[in-house]
Amino acid sequence: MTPVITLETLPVRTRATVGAPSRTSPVITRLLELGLTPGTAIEVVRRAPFGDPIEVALRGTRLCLRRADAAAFGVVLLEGDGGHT
Amino acid sequence: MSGPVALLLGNPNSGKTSLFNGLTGLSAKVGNYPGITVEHREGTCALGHDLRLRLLDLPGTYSLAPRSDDEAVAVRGVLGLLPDTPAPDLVLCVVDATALERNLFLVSQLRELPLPLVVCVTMTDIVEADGRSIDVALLEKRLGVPVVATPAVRGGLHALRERLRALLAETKPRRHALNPPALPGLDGSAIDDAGRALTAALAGPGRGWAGHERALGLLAASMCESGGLDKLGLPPELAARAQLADAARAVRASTEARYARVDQWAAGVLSAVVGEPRSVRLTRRIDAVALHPVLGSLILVGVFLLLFQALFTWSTPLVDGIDATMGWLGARVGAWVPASLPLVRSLLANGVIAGVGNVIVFVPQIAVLFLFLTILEDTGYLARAAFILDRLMASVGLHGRAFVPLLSGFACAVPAILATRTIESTKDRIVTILVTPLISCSARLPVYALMIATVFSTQPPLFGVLAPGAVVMVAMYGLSVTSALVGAAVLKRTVLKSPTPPLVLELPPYRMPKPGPVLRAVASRVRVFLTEAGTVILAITVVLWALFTFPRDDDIAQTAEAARRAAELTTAPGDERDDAIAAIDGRAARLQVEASIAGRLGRAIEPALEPLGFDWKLGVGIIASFAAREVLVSTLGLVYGLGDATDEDSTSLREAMRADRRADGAPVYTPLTGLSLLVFFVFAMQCMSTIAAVKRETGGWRWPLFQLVAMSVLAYGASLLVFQLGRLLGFT
Repeated sequence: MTPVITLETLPVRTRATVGAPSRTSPVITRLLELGLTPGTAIEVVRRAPFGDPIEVALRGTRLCLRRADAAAFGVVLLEGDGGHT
Repeated sequence: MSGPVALLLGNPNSGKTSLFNGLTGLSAKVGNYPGITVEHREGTCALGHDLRLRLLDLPGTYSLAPRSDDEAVAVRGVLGLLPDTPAPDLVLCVVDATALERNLFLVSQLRELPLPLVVCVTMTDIVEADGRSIDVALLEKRLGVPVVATPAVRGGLHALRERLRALLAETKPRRHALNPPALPGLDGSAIDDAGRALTAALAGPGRGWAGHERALGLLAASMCESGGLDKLGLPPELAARAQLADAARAVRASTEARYARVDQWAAGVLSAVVGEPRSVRLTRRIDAVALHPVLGSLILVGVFLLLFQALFTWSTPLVDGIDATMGWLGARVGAWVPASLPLVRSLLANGVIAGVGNVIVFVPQIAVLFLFLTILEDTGYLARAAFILDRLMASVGLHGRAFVPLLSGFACAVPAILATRTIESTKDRIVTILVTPLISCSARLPVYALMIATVFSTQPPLFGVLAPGAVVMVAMYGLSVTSALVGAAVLKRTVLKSPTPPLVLELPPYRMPKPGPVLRAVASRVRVFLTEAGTVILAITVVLWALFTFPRDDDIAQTAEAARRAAELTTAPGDERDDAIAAIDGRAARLQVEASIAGRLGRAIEPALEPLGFDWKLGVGIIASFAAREVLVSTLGLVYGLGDATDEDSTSLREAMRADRRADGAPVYTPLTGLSLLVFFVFAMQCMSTIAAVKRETGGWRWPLFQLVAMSVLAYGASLLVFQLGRLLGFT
């Protein structure tokens, strides 16, 4: 069974697809506009030296966002990657 | 300028500016829209000898739901709401081939509006260098509007010009828009209602918005949801009606639907690539080092140390050169004006030429700072710096980008305030502008140095080892940084209440900056400062000159002249005579300052300054140092009869100050007075050039005056506290 994980807790360098955001805010809307739409393949590239924000790769671009905003996005791990079961 | 108007729109970092430069050549001009502090660039694009297109370069935006003032300007342009600008005949949307889907999202929004649209695909050379091909014809077929690849070579622009010309030649412009996305499960009537209100607000000849209420309603809803509707200057009742719409859900549904459309458009347009593209690999490799937890922080410190070094040291020879040239010019002009017109001579040399000098003396530091910033921005490193620093800056409620202005403030607040332009939110920009002058700039150093040398260098070391002067210096810098950060935190919770700015930042691929655009950006920044802040600085310099010149007391000049003649008769030529004449001139200058308006003002405010431990001479110095803080030193030289060429290393000034006594015989300059004065200079807004820069950057007198009053009150209160508390504790 897949545990419930979000973009915030997604381990670095693990491929996943984004789910629909759990809440709405102008930042979340902007992230949707930048391509974080449900079903998009995504990967956390790294965390900033102080732990926040995080850098993600999606649709051939790199974005950074704060962990608090990333927590609104559920993710589903892609088959064959990061599955430790 | 007549002729058709085209808007240039696109994502940030999409190559929009290069395209604009390529199309307009040297005709581009930078300016401000009336009432908006966001800059715009405009130029003409020749499409043949009979057709000239007026091209407006709008700020980069990811979406038509504006988050920042910059983005709001782009949306206003599309809706024909910009002052002094007609509704566009054509929209040129730049699409970066390396981030195709995200760029096509903006196209999908524009495609729902009844505007003739042309899409320019940039960065195709990078895609091709990666071994990929891009099918422009396929994209054109799917989008239903002209699509032109415009690689960074001349041929691409030629094709684009042809297409624009053909499109404008059509008698009936193409205005067929795509249907806006359906909103399953949502009642669209509120959206349509908002759309009708927006249509009414936009009503004008030849606009043709009618029939597009749903698209405009969605636009209103998304602007409403992002808080951008109030940035457009629309009637307030419209905002109220758009609020009624189920804005957030509609925006979410329409964004997802638009991306579904974008995914269909983009599918197969770019050929697949085996493995990692070259351009992506390069950026990944650089970031592995530049964003490394340890190395990345070290590199960041190194980059900013270099910037700091450049601001402090490399611009010094130029600054000194300007000072010397202006001094020389003042003397030459003085000699050229007949001696029978001493006032004209003085006005030209000490008013006008000194004022021009006060303006251009900032050019080296502004140029150096913007050279660095433009290069850091164009390479993509500035976004990385904001990524690393976000956590630190967010703790005081500021954006990561506020770091550069605050750091530059150690050199000079004027270029630092100009550098706040990279901060998106207006409130955060103003907070940064307001606290930047609290950072101890290099002009305070001569004041610190003089006071420390005068009153602290004679004190015994603290704990037997620490030089008291060094301790005081560190304390002043500590006080300045603390007050700036606390000030920002306080402002963010009170006058400029706003949440910690959100961080959604693109980390663009690293690119080599091009020298031409970089130099052009630096030159435009310098030009704006010279023309807009420069006039204010020049005017205040002349006012200060008048304060120190009038009323003229002819007796002083005559007495000095007689004394000089007497000295020439009684002493032989040589050092002794030179010293005597210098003393006579110094005395005359001192008497003239005492008799001037500024001297009288100094005496008038003495009762207010006494509780701080200052006498009227310091009062005069504080008035004069409004020109620039370091002027305190030369003004003290003047009031102590040592002439105005005195600097902070002058031993005679230190001795004169140490020897100065109050009416009761106590020395004026005690460590407590010194500390009080230092604290005053840490906080006080003693700089007309900063005020001019703040006025220019905030677009009015409101914020500079607020800042002047707030910092003066802070300075007075802090000095009062230091001096009175010190007295209570038994210090003198």
